[in-house]
Amino acid sequence: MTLFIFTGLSQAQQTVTGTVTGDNEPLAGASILVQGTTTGTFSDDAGNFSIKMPAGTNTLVFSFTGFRSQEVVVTGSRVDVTLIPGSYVLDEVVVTAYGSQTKREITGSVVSINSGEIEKIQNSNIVQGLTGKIAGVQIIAQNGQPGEGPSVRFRGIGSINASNEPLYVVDGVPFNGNINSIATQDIESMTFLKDASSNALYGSRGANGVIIVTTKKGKKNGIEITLDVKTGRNTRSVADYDVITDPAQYYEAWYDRHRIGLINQGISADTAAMIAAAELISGGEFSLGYNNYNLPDDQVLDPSTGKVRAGANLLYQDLWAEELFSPSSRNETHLGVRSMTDKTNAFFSLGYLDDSGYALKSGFQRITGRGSMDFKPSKWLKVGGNINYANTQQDAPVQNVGSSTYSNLFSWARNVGPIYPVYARDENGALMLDQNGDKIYDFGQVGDGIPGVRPYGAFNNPVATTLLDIDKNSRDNLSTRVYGRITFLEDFDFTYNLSADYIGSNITTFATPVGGDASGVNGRLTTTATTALTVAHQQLLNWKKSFGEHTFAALAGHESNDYHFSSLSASKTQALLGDLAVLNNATNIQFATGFETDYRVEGYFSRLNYDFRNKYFINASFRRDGTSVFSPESRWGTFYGVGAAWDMTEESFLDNVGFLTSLRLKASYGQQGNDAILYEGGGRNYYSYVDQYNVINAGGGVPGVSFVSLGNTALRWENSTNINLGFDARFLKDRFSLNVEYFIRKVNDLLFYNPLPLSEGRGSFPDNVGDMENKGIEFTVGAQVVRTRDFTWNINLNATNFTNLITRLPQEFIDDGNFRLEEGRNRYEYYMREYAGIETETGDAMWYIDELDANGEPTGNRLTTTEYNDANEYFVGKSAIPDLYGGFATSLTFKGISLDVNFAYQMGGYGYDGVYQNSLGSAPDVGQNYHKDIFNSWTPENTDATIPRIDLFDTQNDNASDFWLVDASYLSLQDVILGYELPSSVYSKIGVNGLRLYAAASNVYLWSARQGYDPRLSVVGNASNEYSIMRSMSIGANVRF
Amino acid sequence: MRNKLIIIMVLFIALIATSCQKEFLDTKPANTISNAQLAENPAALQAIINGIYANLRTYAIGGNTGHIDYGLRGVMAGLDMMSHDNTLSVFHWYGFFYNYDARVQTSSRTRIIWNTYYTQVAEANSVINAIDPATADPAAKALLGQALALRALFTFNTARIYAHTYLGHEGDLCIPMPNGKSFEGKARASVGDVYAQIKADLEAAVPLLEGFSRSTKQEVNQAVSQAFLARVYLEMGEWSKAAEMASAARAGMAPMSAAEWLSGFSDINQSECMWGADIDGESSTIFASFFSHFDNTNNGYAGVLGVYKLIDAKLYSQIPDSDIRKSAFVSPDSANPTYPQLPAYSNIKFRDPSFFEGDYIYLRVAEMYLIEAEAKARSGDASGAAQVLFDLVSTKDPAYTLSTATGDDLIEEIYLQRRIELWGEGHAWYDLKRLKKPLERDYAGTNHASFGLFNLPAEDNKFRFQIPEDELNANDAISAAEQNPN
Repeated sequence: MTLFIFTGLSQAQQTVTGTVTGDNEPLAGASILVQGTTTGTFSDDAGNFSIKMPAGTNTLVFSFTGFRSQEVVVTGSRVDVTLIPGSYVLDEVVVTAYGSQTKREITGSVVSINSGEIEKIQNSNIVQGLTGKIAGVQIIAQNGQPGEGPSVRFRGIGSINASNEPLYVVDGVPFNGNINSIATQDIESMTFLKDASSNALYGSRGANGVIIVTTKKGKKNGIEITLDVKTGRNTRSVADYDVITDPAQYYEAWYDRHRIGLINQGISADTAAMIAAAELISGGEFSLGYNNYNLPDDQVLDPSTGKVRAGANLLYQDLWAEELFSPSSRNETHLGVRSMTDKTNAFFSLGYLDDSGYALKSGFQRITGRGSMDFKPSKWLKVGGNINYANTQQDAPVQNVGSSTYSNLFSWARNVGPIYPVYARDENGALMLDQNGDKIYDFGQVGDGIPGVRPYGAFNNPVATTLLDIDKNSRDNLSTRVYGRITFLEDFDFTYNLSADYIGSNITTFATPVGGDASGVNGRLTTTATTALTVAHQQLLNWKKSFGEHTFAALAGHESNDYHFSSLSASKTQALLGDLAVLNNATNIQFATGFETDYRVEGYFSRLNYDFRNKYFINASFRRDGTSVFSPESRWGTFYGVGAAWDMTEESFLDNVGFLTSLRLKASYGQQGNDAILYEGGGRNYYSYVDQYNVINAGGGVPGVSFVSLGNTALRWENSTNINLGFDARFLKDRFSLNVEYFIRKVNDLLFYNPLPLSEGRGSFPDNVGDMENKGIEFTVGAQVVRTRDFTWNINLNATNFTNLITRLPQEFIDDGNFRLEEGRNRYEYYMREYAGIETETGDAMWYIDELDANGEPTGNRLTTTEYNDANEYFVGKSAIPDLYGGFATSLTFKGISLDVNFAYQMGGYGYDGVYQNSLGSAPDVGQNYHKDIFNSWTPENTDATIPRIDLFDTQNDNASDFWLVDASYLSLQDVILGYELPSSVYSKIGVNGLRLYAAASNVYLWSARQGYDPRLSVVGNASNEYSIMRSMSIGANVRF
Repeated sequence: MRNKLIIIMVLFIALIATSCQKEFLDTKPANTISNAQLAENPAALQAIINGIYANLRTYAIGGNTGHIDYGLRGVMAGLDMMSHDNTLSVFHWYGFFYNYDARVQTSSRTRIIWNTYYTQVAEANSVINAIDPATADPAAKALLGQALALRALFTFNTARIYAHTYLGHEGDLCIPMPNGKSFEGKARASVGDVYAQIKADLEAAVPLLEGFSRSTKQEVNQAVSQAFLARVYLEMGEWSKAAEMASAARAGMAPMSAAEWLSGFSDINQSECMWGADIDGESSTIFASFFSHFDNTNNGYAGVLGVYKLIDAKLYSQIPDSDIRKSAFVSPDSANPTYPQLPAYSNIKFRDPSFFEGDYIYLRVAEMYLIEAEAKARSGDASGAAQVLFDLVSTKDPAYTLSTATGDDLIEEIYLQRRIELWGEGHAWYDLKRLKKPLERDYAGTNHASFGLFNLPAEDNKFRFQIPEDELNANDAISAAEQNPN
């Protein structure tokens, strides 16, 4: 609110009286100001006022919260004014960089989410639960393992070789911890800063956007206790790929792959069928090794029909997927206590979450305790702080997630042939039991006394090893924020913030001695203990003053962040006890490692906010930052942001447009930086300006060094220049809203590993090389379709479209896996061999190749070839970048009942479906399973198939090409929440102030182009064997005392 | 007003005074170490050389995560699988070497080989560029000698993989030769130029290593550098120098006994081992290791998954029954009493009784006998050649008699002994190329697997790997037209 300075010195020329009304009622406390002066007054309870207008003035400005202000040119001595309803929303206070602002004052692109919405989210990682809810922000799950966090992308692609992840700020200080250590119920609000004007003050690290998390403080007078209890079930949300599950079908598919492969090698059809049938189970290179039927090995399959013989009885089948994945439980309890008096306010909470994963032995447990106190011992002093402790335990047995190693449960479940048993069977197919009468795991290896050698993943049984292995990831997170603030000389305050974020983690894995990889060494124990401590100091000097219609707010500050990480890790083999996961249980030291990492940032910053008549707003900020990542010569960068907003409804020419509640135009421009260069293999490179070596044991304890990466002393900040233009329109008392923003995000001096020729043996050279541009538009519409006392119905929708363009590269092109970076193209354009259909005679896949003229130059025409290696690579005209992404939601309330339904979607963009490719693999591991589409692949009998010949010999037909790209569009039903706020008559007698019962489901359903394919599991829509997203369904109660 | 000013000034000073020390942003690496930290250490160059020895037996040194990427021994094994002396029982790791898919530009295998050698060439170059032989002390000279010898070995191996042999191909395109001074891509030098540098490096290394006493067999000493040079002379047709150098390299060493020959080739202390890697629990690459793949009796891919590595049936049949080396393979006529589960022709030459802590032997005395014998035979000294051959073979085959053959017959006899003696030790495919022999897997009675059952004429295109596609993309000095044909 504007601060008025009254002056008794002005010479009264004319006294004006009148009344102020609005919504058919007199408005008490409306402000009346003589335009161009500091003279003003307020209306009384009946809406009456009287004001003396100084000489030379003729206009009064009337304003009142929730109404549009109005300018009236005074022509007589009486003015009666009826104010037009305006927006309440614009007066809401939002936490922004190093302070807070009303929405009215914000000139940038800011979205905030309050506790009401946050409380409904049941994901263990809060950000995950906001998927599809914020325009311009893509939240990509990547992984369904409980406790894992998503990747977040603000407005396009921020970098190539540096991190694209936004900066998290918790209670005012950049946060290095894991956001999953904060209980959802402890969060008061989250703010997403999307443009330069709003986040330039975080200069050094704001380039990829900023997410500000503000935790709860004491609020209401008196004491309020809230208890929230919920319980539910976790299940797999997305059905797996449609792979073969029936043993007979699998035998038939395998037989046929062998048969058509032999035919392709020139063997007659009859002979091929006979060989393939005879060697199906034993006696050949491709024999599957296990017979699930009651017929002799060479009799199971009838070569005349290609089917399992009629009358064959299935002796056994174990379902790996059922053993590995089953519904699990979810329980959460949170108790919060808030209190507030004149001089203190306090918040305490305790939380417990047990989020079990549906995959064997996976899960996340969190215990949190939070305390927050603020004291106001005198008018000029305020001190306070908060402390949060969280212990998180993550069981993550799904190792090498994303890979196709045998220990990856997801890969195993879809790739192991459905004929192989989990438990050992004897020659007759009967279960084998140990002396205790327990089932024996079948590791499928040579010489284990169990018939059959499983050619697929022999030596492995992930059900057994996952159950017997111990994988513990325990973290202690301690986060504190302490501040002192003195207010002086009326307009000034000075704040000192000290914060520390500590994470101590202990990761222990015990690979069982019973079977699998470590059985040869009697078990392998590895413990890694790490500590990460970030200490930050902030000194902030604020000044705020109004001069009549002019209000200024200025900030000068200094900040330092000091991150220190240390790690100690050791591994031993030869364990004595099979279930004791401590290093002292094992004897033979394999390795011991220890290292430390430091990262420091220091910045000086200032900001000036100005507003004139609550109508024109200017925010300007400036920051100079130094980072330890770059060399002393190039480590300081200068960042800034300027924004302006214009509230047009405050202009008199819109006074007659009654349906318009508010209309704000805004524009901003600025520059931020990014120093988060990553090693090429991932992980931050904190010493990018030096050549780096590892010290290694060259044998016998003699030290040696091994080259790691080249450094570049000239490496400097990657710069992101942002332009934001937009408007906010609100209609009919906030009933409808429309927010449209156009953005340009230019990234200059991209941090990039310039690939050197492999023959130089030095990998790549880090440099600031290219430029990239993201342009886009995002819009959010909201409507209260029905707004009555008992019944409301709201609808929200947001959508973002952006285009990405590489505008400068040092070389003609740079290859990056399936993508090629080239000037004038986007970051994620697929460049690969292009599938040209099937050669119908042989069933071989064909790819395109350039037609060459007599001089060996391409003519521009394209031919086809069945030699993969000869085929040319092309831009196939597809990109991983979606055309549109966003979400929509609807919310209904009827009396105490509420129903929220949220969707997220993506339209366009292509992903590379490596899982599907692998499940239609040429020359697979013997015993590997197939996708059911194998039955639609080419055979001599089905020559117009859509999938090429897949057999056991060929090594080309499944090779990487655009054939395996899949439309990454999706629609996901994110949440359904049904709540009932019980009427107070039910509980008021028992001392309860409020009681809400609810049922919530999250990650409910996914519609995508192919069963099992989930584009949300990767930033570019690649399918790999990730932990598939988990669905949670809970019922709960929220009680307030 | 004055109070105001004072307070504001005090606070501003507080703000600035609390800013950090100037060194605040100067962090030092404490995980990886920097070149500056390294340069302060007098043992830096020694550490780089030690690092090369370690890298040569390190997992993923070729930039891949496949279980065939474990350094020098892994490359040697891969190339063996491309010869016709080895065969594979089921399609698994090494299947793409066996079926020759490894050689195409898009294969991760060609990239593994290329990276394995060129990353270590870069390490060697950083030592070579740092030492001036004119002013170096003896310790520095020994380091330079090792670096030159290693660079020569890596370059020689790469040249033999990506080009045909030297004789008759001197003008062919070979491989780029980086110098470690600039990172601009180098063009493919000619075979002649590449071999000139290899020879020059080794001829410089041998005297530099004079008097260098190594602490373990993991290091390259003068004898090892002489052995490399003997190989190079043999490849280049400099017969008398080859014979001389091979003889010098093995000076003071003798062929091992039959019993020692059958002891598994997994111990660097084996008397014939000239150069190798001493593997222990820490340096073991477990399943991604030579013995995981080639020891049919161990707990690795070969032993447990049954991906057996077998000897070619025709070669097996050429080993006399009196030769103890025949017992290193399972007979097709009867099961092996110790390893009854193994199929016919399975090798039991490579056996590591530990959990993948078996040592790697890169270079062995026997090879020097065979080089000397062949070089003498080719330079017309048939009796000298036969005697050297006899000195070696008679220790394994009591019935072996001094050869009376001459000319090509003698050379063929020596070649057969090379194949028997050095089976699985990384020479077979290079020999096919050097001797311009065809690949013969498809013959009556073959035991080769269907996925590699083909023959290739001598010096077929397929005997040259294609340069990895990534190199062509990043190296402006090599055009697509200069790629080896598919």
